[in-house]
Amino acid sequence: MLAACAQKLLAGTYLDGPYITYLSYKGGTTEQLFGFLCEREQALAVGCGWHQFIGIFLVAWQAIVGLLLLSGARSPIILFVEIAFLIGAGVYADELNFQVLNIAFLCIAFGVGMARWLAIICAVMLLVDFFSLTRIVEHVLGL
Amino acid sequence: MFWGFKYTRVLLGGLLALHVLWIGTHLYLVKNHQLNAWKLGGYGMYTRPSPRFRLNAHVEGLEAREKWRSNPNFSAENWYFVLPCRSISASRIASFYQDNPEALGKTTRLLITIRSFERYPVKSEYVPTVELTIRWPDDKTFTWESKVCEQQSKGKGQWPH
Repeated sequence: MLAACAQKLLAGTYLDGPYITYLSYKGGTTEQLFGFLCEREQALAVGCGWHQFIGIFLVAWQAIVGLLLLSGARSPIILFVEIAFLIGAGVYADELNFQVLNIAFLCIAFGVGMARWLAIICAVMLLVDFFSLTRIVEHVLGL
Repeated sequence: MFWGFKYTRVLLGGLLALHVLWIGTHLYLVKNHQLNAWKLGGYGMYTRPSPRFRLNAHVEGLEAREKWRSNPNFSAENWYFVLPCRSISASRIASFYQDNPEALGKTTRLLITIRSFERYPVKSEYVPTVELTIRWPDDKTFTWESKVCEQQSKGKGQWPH
Protein backbone atom coordinates (compact mmCIF):
# COMPACT_ATOMS: atom_id res chain seq x y z
CA MET A 1 0.00 0.00 0.00
CA LEU A 2 2.85 2.35 0.83
CA ALA A 3 4.57 1.53 -2.45
CA ALA A 4 1.33 2.19 -4.36
CA CYS A 5 1.02 5.50 -2.51
CA ALA A 6 4.65 6.44 -3.23
CA GLN A 7 4.39 5.73 -6.95
CA LYS A 8 1.29 7.93 -7.23
CA LEU A 9 3.07 10.73 -5.38
CA LEU A 10 6.15 10.41 -7.59
CA ALA A 11 4.16 10.26 -10.82
CA GLY A 12 2.38 13.44 -9.80
CA THR A 13 -0.81 12.67 -11.71
CA TYR A 14 -3.06 12.09 -8.69
CA LEU A 15 -2.59 15.07 -6.38
CA ASP A 16 -3.96 17.48 -8.96
CA GLY A 17 -6.27 14.87 -10.50
CA PRO A 18 -5.47 14.74 -14.26
CA TYR A 19 -5.33 10.96 -14.43
CA ILE A 20 -8.77 10.63 -12.84
CA THR A 21 -10.01 13.31 -15.25
CA TYR A 22 -8.51 11.38 -18.17
CA LEU A 23 -10.15 8.12 -17.07
CA SER A 24 -13.46 9.90 -16.41
CA TYR A 25 -13.83 11.03 -20.01
CA LYS A 26 -11.52 8.84 -22.08
CA GLY A 27 -11.21 5.66 -20.05
CA GLY A 28 -13.22 2.46 -20.26
CA THR A 29 -16.93 2.31 -19.51
CA THR A 30 -16.56 1.64 -15.78
CA GLU A 31 -13.73 4.14 -15.45
CA GLN A 32 -16.05 6.91 -16.59
CA LEU A 33 -17.91 6.56 -13.30
CA PHE A 34 -16.85 9.99 -12.05
CA GLY A 35 -17.36 11.81 -15.33
CA PHE A 36 -20.62 13.36 -14.13
CA LEU A 37 -18.84 15.35 -11.42
CA CYS A 38 -17.53 18.02 -13.79
CA GLU A 39 -18.21 19.48 -17.19
CA ARG A 40 -16.16 17.46 -19.68
CA GLU A 41 -14.50 20.17 -21.79
CA GLN A 42 -13.67 22.36 -18.83
CA ALA A 43 -12.29 19.43 -16.81
CA LEU A 44 -10.05 18.31 -19.69
CA ALA A 45 -8.81 21.85 -20.24
CA VAL A 46 -8.13 23.10 -16.73
CA GLY A 47 -8.90 20.22 -14.36
CA CYS A 48 -11.71 19.31 -12.02
CA GLY A 49 -11.79 19.89 -8.27
CA TRP A 50 -13.76 16.72 -7.59
CA HIS A 51 -11.30 14.59 -9.56
CA GLN A 52 -8.46 16.21 -7.63
CA PHE A 53 -10.26 15.33 -4.41
CA ILE A 54 -10.63 11.69 -5.52
CA GLY A 55 -6.94 11.57 -6.48
CA ILE A 56 -5.85 12.94 -3.10
CA PHE A 57 -8.27 10.61 -1.30
CA LEU A 58 -6.78 7.56 -3.07
CA VAL A 59 -3.22 8.56 -2.20
CA ALA A 60 -4.15 9.35 1.41
CA TRP A 61 -6.10 6.10 1.71
CA GLN A 62 -3.18 4.00 0.57
CA ALA A 63 -0.82 5.86 2.92
CA ILE A 64 -3.12 5.44 5.93
CA VAL A 65 -3.86 1.74 5.33
CA GLY A 66 -0.17 1.07 4.63
CA LEU A 67 0.86 2.72 7.89
CA LEU A 68 -1.88 0.92 9.82
CA LEU A 69 -0.74 -2.45 8.47
CA LEU A 70 2.87 -1.59 9.19
CA SER A 71 2.03 -0.63 12.74
CA GLY A 72 0.43 -4.02 13.29
CA ALA A 73 -3.23 -2.97 13.26
CA ARG A 74 -5.27 -6.07 12.49
CA SER A 75 -8.79 -4.97 13.32
CA PRO A 76 -11.59 -6.79 11.46
CA ILE A 77 -13.12 -3.36 10.79
CA ILE A 78 -9.99 -2.24 8.93
CA LEU A 79 -10.01 -5.50 7.00
CA PHE A 80 -13.67 -5.06 6.09
CA VAL A 81 -13.24 -1.43 4.97
CA GLU A 82 -10.13 -2.28 2.98
CA ILE A 83 -11.89 -5.18 1.24
CA ALA A 84 -14.77 -2.83 0.39
CA PHE A 85 -12.24 -0.38 -1.06
CA LEU A 86 -10.56 -3.11 -3.13
CA ILE A 87 -13.91 -4.26 -4.52
CA GLY A 88 -14.73 -0.62 -5.37
CA ALA A 89 -11.38 -0.25 -7.14
CA GLY A 90 -11.97 -3.53 -8.96
CA VAL A 91 -15.35 -2.33 -10.21
CA TYR A 92 -13.90 1.05 -11.24
CA ALA A 93 -11.00 -0.42 -13.21
CA ASP A 94 -12.87 -3.56 -14.33
CA GLU A 95 -10.14 -5.69 -12.76
CA LEU A 96 -12.08 -7.86 -10.38
CA ASN A 97 -9.76 -10.84 -10.81
CA PHE A 98 -6.78 -8.76 -9.72
CA GLN A 99 -8.67 -7.59 -6.64
CA VAL A 100 -9.52 -11.19 -5.69
CA LEU A 101 -5.78 -11.76 -5.56
CA ASN A 102 -5.32 -8.61 -3.45
CA ILE A 103 -8.09 -9.66 -1.06
CA ALA A 104 -6.47 -13.07 -0.64
CA PHE A 105 -3.12 -11.41 0.13
CA LEU A 106 -4.83 -9.09 2.58
CA CYS A 107 -6.35 -12.06 4.41
CA ILE A 108 -2.87 -13.56 4.68
CA ALA A 109 -1.46 -10.24 5.97
CA PHE A 110 -4.21 -10.09 8.61
CA GLY A 111 -3.55 -13.68 9.59
CA VAL A 112 -7.17 -14.71 9.07
CA GLY A 113 -8.53 -17.28 6.71
CA MET A 114 -10.91 -16.23 3.99
CA ALA A 115 -14.38 -16.18 5.55
CA ARG A 116 -17.14 -18.06 3.76
CA TRP A 117 -19.02 -14.90 2.85
CA LEU A 118 -15.85 -13.40 1.43
CA ALA A 119 -15.07 -16.53 -0.57
CA ILE A 120 -18.58 -16.33 -2.07
CA ILE A 121 -18.06 -12.66 -2.97
CA CYS A 122 -14.70 -13.53 -4.55
CA ALA A 123 -16.29 -16.35 -6.54
CA VAL A 124 -18.96 -13.93 -7.83
CA MET A 125 -16.25 -11.41 -8.70
CA LEU A 126 -14.35 -14.01 -10.72
CA LEU A 127 -17.54 -15.00 -12.51
CA VAL A 128 -18.34 -11.36 -13.35
CA ASP A 129 -14.75 -10.85 -14.49
CA PHE A 130 -15.04 -13.89 -16.74
CA PHE A 131 -17.71 -12.10 -18.75
CA SER A 132 -16.08 -8.66 -18.12
CA LEU A 133 -17.91 -6.08 -16.04
CA THR A 134 -17.64 -3.58 -18.90
CA ARG A 135 -19.53 -5.89 -21.27
CA ILE A 136 -22.18 -6.57 -18.65
CA VAL A 137 -22.68 -2.83 -17.94
CA GLU A 138 -22.75 -2.00 -21.65
CA HIS A 139 -25.27 -4.78 -22.24
CA VAL A 140 -27.52 -3.60 -19.40
CA LEU A 141 -27.33 0.05 -20.47
CA GLY A 142 -27.65 -0.83 -24.14
CA LEU A 143 -24.41 0.97 -25.04
CA MET B 1 17.73 -21.03 15.65
CA PHE B 2 19.22 -17.59 16.38
CA TRP B 3 21.44 -17.73 13.30
CA GLY B 4 18.49 -18.81 11.16
CA PHE B 5 16.48 -15.83 12.39
CA LYS B 6 19.37 -13.44 11.76
CA TYR B 7 19.96 -14.91 8.30
CA THR B 8 16.30 -14.44 7.39
CA ARG B 9 16.34 -10.82 8.55
CA VAL B 10 19.50 -10.08 6.56
CA LEU B 11 18.01 -11.74 3.50
CA LEU B 12 14.74 -9.79 3.80
CA GLY B 13 16.65 -6.55 4.40
CA GLY B 14 18.81 -7.22 1.37
CA LEU B 15 15.77 -7.92 -0.81
CA LEU B 16 14.11 -4.73 0.42
CA ALA B 17 17.26 -2.73 -0.35
CA LEU B 18 17.45 -4.25 -3.83
CA HIS B 19 13.79 -3.44 -4.40
CA VAL B 20 14.26 0.18 -3.37
CA LEU B 21 17.34 0.36 -5.61
CA TRP B 22 15.35 -0.98 -8.52
CA ILE B 23 12.54 1.54 -7.92
CA GLY B 24 15.10 4.36 -8.18
CA THR B 25 16.58 2.84 -11.34
CA HIS B 26 13.12 2.40 -12.81
CA LEU B 27 12.22 6.04 -12.18
CA TYR B 28 15.52 7.12 -13.75
CA LEU B 29 14.94 4.97 -16.85
CA VAL B 30 11.36 6.24 -17.26
CA LYS B 31 12.47 9.86 -17.01
CA ASN B 32 15.66 9.72 -19.07
CA HIS B 33 15.23 6.78 -21.46
CA GLN B 34 11.46 6.75 -21.93
CA LEU B 35 11.13 3.28 -20.43
CA ASN B 36 7.50 2.18 -20.49
CA ALA B 37 6.36 3.06 -16.98
CA TRP B 38 4.05 0.03 -16.87
CA LYS B 39 6.84 -2.50 -17.48
CA LEU B 40 9.76 -4.03 -15.59
CA GLY B 41 8.02 -3.83 -12.25
CA GLY B 42 5.51 -1.31 -13.48
CA TYR B 43 6.23 1.33 -10.93
CA GLY B 44 4.24 3.81 -13.00
CA MET B 45 1.20 1.59 -13.49
CA TYR B 46 -2.15 3.32 -13.05
CA THR B 47 -0.53 6.74 -12.97
CA ARG B 48 -0.90 7.33 -16.71
CA PRO B 49 -2.35 5.41 -19.68
CA SER B 50 -0.28 2.43 -20.75
CA PRO B 51 2.26 3.70 -23.38
CA ARG B 52 1.35 1.23 -26.14
CA PHE B 53 2.93 1.45 -29.56
CA ARG B 54 1.46 1.56 -33.06
CA LEU B 55 3.18 0.56 -36.28
CA ASN B 56 2.52 2.69 -39.36
CA ALA B 57 4.14 1.49 -42.57
CA HIS B 58 4.41 2.78 -46.11
CA VAL B 59 5.80 0.30 -48.60
CA GLU B 60 6.60 1.41 -52.12
CA GLY B 61 4.33 -0.32 -54.62
CA LEU B 62 1.96 -1.47 -51.90
CA GLU B 63 0.51 1.92 -50.98
CA ALA B 64 -3.06 0.63 -50.96
CA ARG B 65 -2.40 -1.61 -48.02
CA GLU B 66 -3.08 0.15 -44.74
CA LYS B 67 -2.49 -2.54 -42.14
CA TRP B 68 0.87 -4.21 -41.67
CA ARG B 69 1.58 -7.03 -39.32
CA SER B 70 3.65 -6.24 -36.27
CA ASN B 71 3.32 -9.67 -34.70
CA PRO B 72 4.87 -11.94 -33.71
CA ASN B 73 8.44 -11.19 -34.84
CA PHE B 74 8.48 -7.40 -35.08
CA SER B 75 6.93 -6.81 -31.66
CA ALA B 76 9.08 -9.38 -29.90
CA GLU B 77 12.33 -8.36 -31.61
CA ASN B 78 11.65 -4.72 -30.73
CA TRP B 79 10.72 -5.60 -27.13
CA TYR B 80 7.25 -4.12 -27.74
CA PHE B 81 8.99 -0.73 -27.68
CA VAL B 82 9.17 -0.89 -23.91
CA LEU B 83 12.50 0.92 -24.32
CA PRO B 84 11.66 3.00 -27.40
CA CYS B 85 14.96 4.91 -27.54
CA ARG B 86 17.01 1.72 -27.95
CA SER B 87 19.25 1.96 -31.03
CA ILE B 88 18.09 0.26 -34.21
CA SER B 89 19.71 -2.98 -35.33
CA ALA B 90 19.50 -5.06 -38.49
CA SER B 91 17.63 -7.83 -36.69
CA ARG B 92 14.99 -5.37 -35.45
CA ILE B 93 14.38 -4.23 -39.01
CA ALA B 94 14.52 -7.73 -40.49
CA SER B 95 11.73 -8.80 -38.16
CA PHE B 96 9.31 -6.50 -40.05
CA TYR B 97 10.04 -8.42 -43.24
CA GLN B 98 9.68 -11.75 -41.47
CA ASP B 99 6.14 -10.71 -40.56
CA ASN B 100 5.48 -9.08 -43.95
CA PRO B 101 7.49 -10.98 -46.61
CA GLU B 102 5.54 -9.25 -49.42
CA ALA B 103 7.42 -6.03 -48.53
CA LEU B 104 10.83 -7.61 -49.15
CA GLY B 105 13.01 -5.64 -51.55
CA LYS B 106 10.72 -2.61 -51.49
CA THR B 107 11.59 0.78 -50.05
CA THR B 108 9.83 0.93 -46.72
CA ARG B 109 9.07 3.73 -44.31
CA LEU B 110 8.15 2.77 -40.78
CA LEU B 111 6.79 5.12 -38.19
CA ILE B 112 6.38 3.93 -34.61
CA THR B 113 4.13 6.06 -32.46
CA ILE B 114 3.83 5.62 -28.72
CA ARG B 115 0.94 6.74 -26.55
CA SER B 116 1.84 9.69 -24.40
CA PHE B 117 -0.01 11.44 -21.59
CA GLU B 118 -0.23 15.17 -21.05
CA ARG B 119 -2.20 17.28 -18.65
CA TYR B 120 -3.89 20.61 -19.04
CA PRO B 121 -5.23 20.06 -21.50
CA VAL B 122 -5.58 16.44 -20.38
CA LYS B 123 -4.94 14.27 -23.41
CA SER B 124 -3.36 11.06 -24.59
CA GLU B 125 -1.88 10.96 -28.09
CA TYR B 126 0.25 8.65 -30.17
CA VAL B 127 3.53 10.54 -30.60
CA PRO B 128 6.07 9.72 -33.36
CA THR B 129 9.07 8.18 -31.62
CA VAL B 130 10.86 6.01 -34.18
CA GLU B 131 11.13 6.82 -37.88
CA LEU B 132 12.82 4.45 -40.29
CA THR B 133 13.51 4.51 -44.01
CA ILE B 134 14.69 1.18 -45.38
CA ARG B 135 16.10 0.72 -48.87
CA TRP B 136 17.20 -2.39 -50.74
CA PRO B 137 20.27 -1.87 -52.96
CA ASP B 138 20.01 -5.57 -53.91
CA ASP B 139 18.01 -8.65 -52.94
CA LYS B 140 20.26 -9.59 -50.05
CA THR B 141 21.12 -6.22 -48.55
CA PHE B 142 19.14 -3.45 -46.91
CA THR B 143 20.25 -0.10 -45.59
CA TRP B 144 18.40 2.13 -43.17
CA GLU B 145 18.25 5.66 -41.94
CA SER B 146 16.64 6.10 -38.58
CA LYS B 147 15.53 8.82 -36.24
CA VAL B 148 15.00 7.40 -32.78
CA CYS B 149 14.04 9.80 -30.01
CA GLU B 150 15.51 12.65 -32.09
CA GLN B 151 18.82 10.77 -32.60
CA GLN B 152 19.68 10.05 -36.22
CA SER B 153 21.69 7.04 -37.39
CA LYS B 154 22.37 4.83 -40.41
CA GLY B 155 23.06 1.14 -40.83
CA LYS B 156 23.21 -1.86 -43.09
CA GLY B 157 21.96 -5.42 -42.81
CA GLN B 158 21.79 -8.72 -44.67
CA TRP B 159 18.74 -10.72 -45.68
CA PRO B 160 17.96 -13.36 -44.58
CA HIS B 161 19.14 -12.10 -41.24
